[in-house]
Amino acid sequence: MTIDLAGLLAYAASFGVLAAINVVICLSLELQWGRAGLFNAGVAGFVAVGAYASALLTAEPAAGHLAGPGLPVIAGLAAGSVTAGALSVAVGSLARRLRGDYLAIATFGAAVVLELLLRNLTPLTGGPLGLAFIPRPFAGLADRPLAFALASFAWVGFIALVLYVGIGRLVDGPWGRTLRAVRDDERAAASLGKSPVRFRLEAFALGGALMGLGGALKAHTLGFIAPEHFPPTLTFQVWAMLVLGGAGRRQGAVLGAVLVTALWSATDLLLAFFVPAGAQAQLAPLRIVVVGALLALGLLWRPRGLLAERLRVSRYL
Amino acid sequence: MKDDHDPRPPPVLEARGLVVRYGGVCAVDGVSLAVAAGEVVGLVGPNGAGKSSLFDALAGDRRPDSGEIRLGGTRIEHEGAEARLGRGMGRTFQVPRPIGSLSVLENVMLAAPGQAGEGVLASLCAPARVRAAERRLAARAAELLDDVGLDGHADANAAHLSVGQRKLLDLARLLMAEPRVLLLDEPMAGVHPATAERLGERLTALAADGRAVLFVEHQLGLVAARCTRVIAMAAGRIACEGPPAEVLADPRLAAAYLGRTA
Ligand SMILES: Nc1ncnc2c1ncn2[C@@H]1O[C@H](COP(=O)(O)OP(=O)(O)OP(=O)(O)O)[C@@H](O)[C@H]1O
Ligand SMILES: [Mg+2]
Repeated sequence: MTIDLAGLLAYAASFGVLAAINVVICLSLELQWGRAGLFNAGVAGFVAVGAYASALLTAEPAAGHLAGPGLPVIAGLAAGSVTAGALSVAVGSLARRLRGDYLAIATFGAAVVLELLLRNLTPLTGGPLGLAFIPRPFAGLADRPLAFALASFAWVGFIALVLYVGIGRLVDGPWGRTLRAVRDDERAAASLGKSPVRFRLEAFALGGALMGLGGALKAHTLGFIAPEHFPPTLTFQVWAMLVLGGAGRRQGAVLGAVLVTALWSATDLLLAFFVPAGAQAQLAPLRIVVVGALLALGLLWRPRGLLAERLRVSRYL
Repeated sequence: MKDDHDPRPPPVLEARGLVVRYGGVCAVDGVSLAVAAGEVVGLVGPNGAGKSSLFDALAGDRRPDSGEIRLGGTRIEHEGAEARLGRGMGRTFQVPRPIGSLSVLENVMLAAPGQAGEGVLASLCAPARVRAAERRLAARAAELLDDVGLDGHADANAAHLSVGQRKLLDLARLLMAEPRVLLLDEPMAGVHPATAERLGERLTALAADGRAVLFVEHQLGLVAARCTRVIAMAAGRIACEGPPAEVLADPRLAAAYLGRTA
């Protein structure tokens, strides 16, 4: 038996792309929930908005749907983030003062409405079929799988790394400290002159924008998107990553994202190898059960996630 | 009311006809008061007199059901707590509220006003500026902790402090915010007597520095020693007010503590 080293490397790199995108989305939720205590029950919706906004703005003009200024990918990424960020501001403002229950219901509702829109606004979104021919950076390498996978991993990984560093500057400093105060005791924070609404909205909008960026990355690595890429189980998956890894630590979000992505891919492989093709579709939902069970076990073992929040906030001390 | 020979500076904080109701309970029932810069005013009265409710209304934690509040002449009763702190009036709570997920030092640093690093852009683009500011804040916070006798606890988890230590932390934190008007709800309760004595000196020093202090205290000895004026509340109203010696000897105060409203 020969081991196809190039094939293995290509597989690892495309796993890396997937993991890096999930890291971006999980870091966004970490910002909202871990740092600000904001419960987002509609992660998939914010990711989808970013993906569709970027895809629509970058796709070449085509007959049949409205896509088409053909902007460069980088502009699409920015637009996807801004659109999802704006949606976050709107949803956050609707959920008065961004308090727990309201926000959970508002985000969940927003995601449901968005999914309906994606499926039914066919002229804009392509309906259930979605959008295709979304530009992929380094598409010229597409006939050399290894080179293409490595190049994709390089640019997506680079963006994830930049975000990781940028978020660190924010959350491990005075902004993160005040946010923690707002999260844990709104009244005390307000009595010290800190506006809970301002800090919550900043965290929620920023998190939402980065979820949108994650979606846009998804669009520009896959080359096509459809509503089924952003199912409610995506929300569950991202929460599983964060809770398993530990909310309140960037490293926790990264670890959780990589672990759950690996588990997800592993169950994919197992299904492909050991289950006849006809039964695969029926068994696919089992993955959710597997991830859920792992999450439950992980939480029994470490209730606050693999990496717990640290006492010190400011990296400058 | 104010005659021309009144040597006191004009009041910084002024309230008129404040009313706070909880459902059917009228906790504050038409209170008017004024506190001037340089004054240390003691607020006394039995449990349930409405002292903390009055503080809630003054500090913006609860909108008064009616009445006016002025700070430096500006009406502020429609503003929230954070805006009132921005105008220079801050409070501590009867049950202290440290942020339990932060160290003692960072609890104090948190309160510093106008931190560059609280802005998203500055945090991202000017880490060197944020670092320099953090160094300054840490030094200042350590000083304040020293002042209230919490040195040695700087790196402790604020959640692990005793009740008395939490009171001290709340006070240090408020001082970090540099308010001109301080509303202190029983700052010395549960605090070691020697430390309470130092806190008293600190209040006097704050007043000498031109700030206005209004503080609730049940130990009348401390009140007599530190206040320039005393306001006694009973059942939501002001029972009597004046110089400490007069008020503490006033039969209406004794009556209030015995549960009768004179
Ligand atoms: N959140 C609340 N809901 C309902 N009633 C309240 C509330 N807070 C205070 N009260 C009532 O309002 C009245 C005044 O309470 P307040 O705490 O202001 O008194 P206080 O003078 O601070 O008393 P203490 O010396 O015990 O601190 C009391 O009758 C109290 O039971
Ligand atoms: Mg009280």
